[in-house]
Amino acid sequence: MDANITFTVNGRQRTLRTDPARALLDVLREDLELTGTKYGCGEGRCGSCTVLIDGRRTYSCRTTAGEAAGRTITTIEGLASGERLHPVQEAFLAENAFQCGYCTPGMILSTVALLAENPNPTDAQIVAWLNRDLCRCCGYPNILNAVRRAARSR
Amino acid sequence: MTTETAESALDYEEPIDRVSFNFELTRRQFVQVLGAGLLIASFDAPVDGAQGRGGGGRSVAARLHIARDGTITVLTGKVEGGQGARAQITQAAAEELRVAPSRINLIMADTSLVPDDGITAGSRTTPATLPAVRQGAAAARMLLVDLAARSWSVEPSQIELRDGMAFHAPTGRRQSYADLASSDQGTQAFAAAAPTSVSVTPVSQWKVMGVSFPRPNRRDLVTGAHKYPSDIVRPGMLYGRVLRPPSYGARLVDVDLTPARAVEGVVAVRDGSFVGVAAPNTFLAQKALEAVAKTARWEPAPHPNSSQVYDYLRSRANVPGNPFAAELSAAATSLRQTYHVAYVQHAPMETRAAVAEWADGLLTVWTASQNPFGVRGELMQAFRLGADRVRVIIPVCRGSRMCPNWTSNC
Repeated sequence: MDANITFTVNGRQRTLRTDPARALLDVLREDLELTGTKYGCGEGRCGSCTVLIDGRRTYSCRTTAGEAAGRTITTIEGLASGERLHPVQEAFLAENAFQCGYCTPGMILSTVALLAENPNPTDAQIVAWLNRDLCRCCGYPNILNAVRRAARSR
Repeated sequence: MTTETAESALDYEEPIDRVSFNFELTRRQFVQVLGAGLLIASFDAPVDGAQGRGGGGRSVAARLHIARDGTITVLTGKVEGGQGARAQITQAAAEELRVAPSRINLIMADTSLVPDDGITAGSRTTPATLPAVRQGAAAARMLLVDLAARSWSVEPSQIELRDGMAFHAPTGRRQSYADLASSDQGTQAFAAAAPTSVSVTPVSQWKVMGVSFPRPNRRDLVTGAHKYPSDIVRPGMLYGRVLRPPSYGARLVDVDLTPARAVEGVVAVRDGSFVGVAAPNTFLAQKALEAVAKTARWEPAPHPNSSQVYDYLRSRANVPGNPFAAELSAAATSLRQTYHVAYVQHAPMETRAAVAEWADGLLTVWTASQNPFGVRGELMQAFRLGADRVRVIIPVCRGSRMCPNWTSNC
């Protein structure tokens, strides 16, 4: 049963008419053409689908469009300001914290959420937070360096 | 010509029907896509016994194109999956052509355009493909020197190439690669086979290779701009789901597609044991699939179960004798242990996906795979099409981690 759903994505208000039971991930990728957020497991266990909802880390594969109504959503596409990248994006570039890059949007948003809550995380805290983000190219060392670098740059 | 290459011997035991096909470079295709200019076609000499999996016999493969506006396009059948093939092939071509890497436009893994450099696996790109790229680029360099020398009526040895320009030091004259590619002599859409003796740049003179080089599309990775195979969207595209059997080789006895077709916008097809649905979005496709799955009756094929599989394999394995039997019996102490390891599936983060588009009798497929020409061969077989009717494009994709992703998704 379709309904009108309104939310703010990357600073822009969007209204869609769709089934509220659809995953937010699917709506972002298929209806709004924001393919930066990725499908990895569909169970909220890999971090590929990470977005920020009202600034908090959220797994969009386990969030319905209906649940996102009225909220403020940030995807990877919404981090940069025009040509100016977000400091976390810059940190990932500086540390070459990617190989295939598929996990990278999720890793970056997860890091943004971490540093918003805890600007000076210890290594143990970083690992505990990012344990929910999987990389299968074994990029973890560089990713950890990127998070440390991003924390230092604040 | 052997059909088993170094790559396949190393990594892949899967029983795949190798399709031998014969692909021909068409002049028209190149002029359409890349424009007029210089096209360097060379026999890619096998290095270390590895050879492109092109099927029967050698073929003339185009490696490099210099357009009249100076745009340099390099072509490779290798795939970028995060391991750095794009960067290193770009560096290699830039080095030999005496240009900055940013001047190289590298087209990868588009079967309509690129040579078959074989499967991307076994760390073969560096020892096998890079030499072929360097030879092609060095051949282009020799051709540019030759064109400049003839245009100025001077000895080729007096010509130096630097930053996309040809210089004649004694007279101070210069021409750009664009000039040379546009010249009367340069206007040939096909070069003959590259000269057999081509000298690549020695290590001691490297300026671009051997230097740390940032990954070309890195910004797109951190901004989410990069389109993986599962991000490709085509006009009028539907989202598909396949009805999977409960076990390998099961036969579909009966299924009712009407519940799927009752979902708005859904297309459902059956072909033997294959059932697929497609819908305007994945949510509807999944709904349709679940409706169909409820009606499906399967006849399973007999298989050993997880606890039986070890004995099953052992009884059928051809286990050679222990080559260390003598050492073992001479040892002071010997230990013996048996380990049973469960099947481990490669699981890159990107789920397996493909986009297939039919237009004017031509099938184009975007997918993540290490073997674009292998995928093309299988599609040709499956749909009984010639090589000129199937185009496979492997975008920069998820690391496959030594997992040959064959054609099933397409």
